[in-house]
Amino acid sequence: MPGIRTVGRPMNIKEKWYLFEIAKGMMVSIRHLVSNIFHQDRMPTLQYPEEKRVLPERFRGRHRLTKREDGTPKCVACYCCQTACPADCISIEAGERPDAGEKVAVRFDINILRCVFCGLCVEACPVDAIRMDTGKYELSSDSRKKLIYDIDTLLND
Amino acid sequence: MQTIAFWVFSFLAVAGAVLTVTRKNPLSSALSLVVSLVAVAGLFATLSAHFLFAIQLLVYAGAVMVLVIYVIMILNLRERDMRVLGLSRPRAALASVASLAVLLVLARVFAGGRTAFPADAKGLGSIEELATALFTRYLLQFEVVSVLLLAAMVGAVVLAMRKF
Amino acid sequence: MLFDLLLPVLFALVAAFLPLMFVPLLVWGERKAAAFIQDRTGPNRAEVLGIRLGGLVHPFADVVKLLGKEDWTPERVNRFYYNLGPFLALFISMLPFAIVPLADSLSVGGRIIEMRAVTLNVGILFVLAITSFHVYAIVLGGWGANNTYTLIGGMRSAAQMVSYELAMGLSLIGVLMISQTLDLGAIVRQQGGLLFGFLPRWNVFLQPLGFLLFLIALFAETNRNPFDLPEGESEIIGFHVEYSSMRFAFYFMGEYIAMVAGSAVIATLYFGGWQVPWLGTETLRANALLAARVLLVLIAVFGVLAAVLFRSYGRRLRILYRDRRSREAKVLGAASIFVAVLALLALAFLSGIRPLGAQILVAAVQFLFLVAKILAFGFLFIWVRWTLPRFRYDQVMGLGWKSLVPLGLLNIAVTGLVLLGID
Repeated sequence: MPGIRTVGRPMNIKEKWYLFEIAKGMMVSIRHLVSNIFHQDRMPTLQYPEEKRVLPERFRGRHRLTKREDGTPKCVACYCCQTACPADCISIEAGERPDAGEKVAVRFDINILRCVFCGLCVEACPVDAIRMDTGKYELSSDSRKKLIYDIDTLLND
Repeated sequence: MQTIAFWVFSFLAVAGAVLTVTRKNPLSSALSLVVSLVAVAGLFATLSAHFLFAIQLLVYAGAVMVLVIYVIMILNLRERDMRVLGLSRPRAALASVASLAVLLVLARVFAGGRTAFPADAKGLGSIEELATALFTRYLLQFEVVSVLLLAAMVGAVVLAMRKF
Repeated sequence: MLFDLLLPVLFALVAAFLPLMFVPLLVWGERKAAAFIQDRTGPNRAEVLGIRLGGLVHPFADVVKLLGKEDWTPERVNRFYYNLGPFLALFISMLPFAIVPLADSLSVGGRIIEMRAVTLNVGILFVLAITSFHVYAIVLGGWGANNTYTLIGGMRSAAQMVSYELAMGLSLIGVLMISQTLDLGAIVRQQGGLLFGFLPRWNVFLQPLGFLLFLIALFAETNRNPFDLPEGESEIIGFHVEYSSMRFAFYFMGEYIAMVAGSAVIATLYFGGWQVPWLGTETLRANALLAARVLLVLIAVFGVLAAVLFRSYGRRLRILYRDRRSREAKVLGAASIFVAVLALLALAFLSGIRPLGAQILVAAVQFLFLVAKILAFGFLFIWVRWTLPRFRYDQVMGLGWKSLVPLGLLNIAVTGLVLLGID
C-alpha cells in the first residue's frame, strides 16, 4: 500500500520451524485452562443476575428527582436540564404552585430510551433537584411507554 | 444380494453416463459423471476388487473430478458457454449407437467369450495380484503410460508458462 | 442366519450413531475449553429440572434452537445443489467410521466377528478417498448458494483440501511400509507388543515425522483452525453464509464428525486404535476376572471422588443461587455414590467370568480405550483452535506444497533406508 512501510522482523531458525513456537503458545493456553478448572473462584466472570458488581461512587445510573424536607419536589421548572440535555430526552411542563406562588414542574418526563447518561442535566441543575445516583442500571422493559419515566416515578426512585 | 447390488450399480452407472451427455449445465454434467464413476467403483467392490474400488474412488471420483469441477467453477461456465456440436439429433443418436456397437464387439472379441470372472480366482483384485500383473506382464504398457503422463505434465507446464 | 443379517445392521447403526454421539460432547468441550482458555466461565445456564451438568445441556438447547429457526432459502439459488451440500457434508464425514475397528475381533461359536461395520482390506485408501469426497460437499454448498463470496470460499477450500490430500497420502506411506498392509484391522493388531521393552509398539514412536505431517494434514482436511479458511467466519466469508437453521447445523455437525472420524483414524493408524497400552488382548482375556475387579474398584473410587467434588461444588452453588439450581450437586453426588455402591456390590458378587463374557469385557475395555484416544485428539483439535491464529492463504499453500510434501517424501526415503538396514 502507498504510504505504509512494513517493517519485517527476521525470524530466527527456531521460529521459522513454527513448531517450537506453537508448542510454547499451546503451553500458555493449557496453563490458563488448567488453572481455571481448579480455581474457578478466581475467574473474573460474575454470575450476573445472582452476583453484581460493586458500583463506583460516582456511577451514573437512572435519574431521580430530589425532594425538600416537606416532601415536595425541589425542581423549580427552570428548564436548565432540558436545555443542557444533548439527547433531548427531558421534557418539562411548568406550572404554578398553589400555596407559595412558585414555579413548579407539572410534568417532568425523561425518555430513558434517548438518554445517553452523560450527566449534563445534573450539572446544569441550579437547585440540585436532579441526580443520577440511584445506581440502577437494569432498565429493560416490555414496552416503550414504560421507559418514559414521569415525575412520580422519578421522585420515588 | 450380489445380483441386486450389480443391477443397482449398473443402473446408476448407465444413468449417470447418460445424464453426463444430456445435461446442459456443465456442473450437472460433471456431477453426473461423478455418480457414474462411483457406481463403477461399486461394481468393482461387488467383484471383491477392493483395491480398484478404492483407487477408482480416490483418483477418478475424488481427485480428477474435483479438478474438473474446480475448472468449471473458476471459469464460471454456464449453459450458454457450451458449444453446440453441429450434429442433428438423428445423426447424433446414430453415432452413439454405432460407437456402442463397436465397443460391445471389441469387448466380445478381447474378452474371448468370457462373460464373468471366475468366482474362485484366488486373490482376485488384491493388491499383490494387481502389482504382480502391472510390474511383470504389463510392465512395458505401464511404463509407456507413465511416460505419456509425464509428457502431459511437461506440456501443461509449458502451456502455463507461455505468455499470452 | 438371522444373526448373520442382524450383525451388519447393528454395526452399521453403531458406525452411524457413534460419531453423532460425540458431537454434543465436542461442542460442549469446545465452548467450555475456549472459555477456560480465555479466562471465562463458558456456558452454564441451560438446565433441565435444575440439572445443568456444567453446560452440557447447552448443545441440546442449541439443537432445539436450530430446529426452531426459520429455514431461509435465498432467491435464485440452484435448489438441488443448495440442498445437496449440507446432506453430503454430514453423510461423507460419517463414512470413515465404518471401517475403523472398534475392538479386537470376537470368536463366538467358531465364528470370528470383526468389530467394525465394513471389513475392507484397503481401509487406508478408503479413508483417503472419503476425504477427497468431502470437497464436493463444500464446493456444492458454495456454488449452489449463488453468491460470489460463498463460491470463492468453496474454491478456496477445494484448493486447500486437494493440496493437503497429497501431503496426507505421502505421510501415510511410512506406516504402510512398516505394516505391509492397507487393512486397518491388521495395522492395529500389529501395534500390540512392546518397543525397546518399555514403550507400546505404536506407530507414532516408529513414525514421529509421519505422524506430525499426518496430523497437520488432518487439521487442514477437517478445516479446523489454523486452516479454517473455508469458513473464515470472522473476516473472509466462507462457503456456508447463505445457510440457516438445520442446513447450517448439518455443515456444523459435519465439521465435528469429520473431526471425530479424523481422530479415530489417527488413533487407529498411529496410536494403536483399540490397543490397551502394555496389555495385549490375550493377556487381558486370560486375566479377565482381575481386569473386571480392577475396573469395578476404579469405578467405585471415581464415584466417591466425584461425590466429594460435588459436595464442595454444592456448597458454592448454595451460596450463589439459593434456588432449585443448588439441588443439582446433591442429585449428581447421590448418583455418583449410587454408582460407586453398585460397583462395590458387583465386586462382592463377582466370582468368575465365562470365556464369552471375558471376550466381551475385553472388547468393551478396548472400545473404551479407543473412545478415550478419540476424545484426547478431539481435545487437541480444540486446544489448537483456541491457541493459534488462522493462516493466510498463501501460507497455507506454502506450508502444504513446500514443507509437508518434501518432508513426506523425506519420511518415505528415511523409512525405506531404515527398513533396508534392518533387513
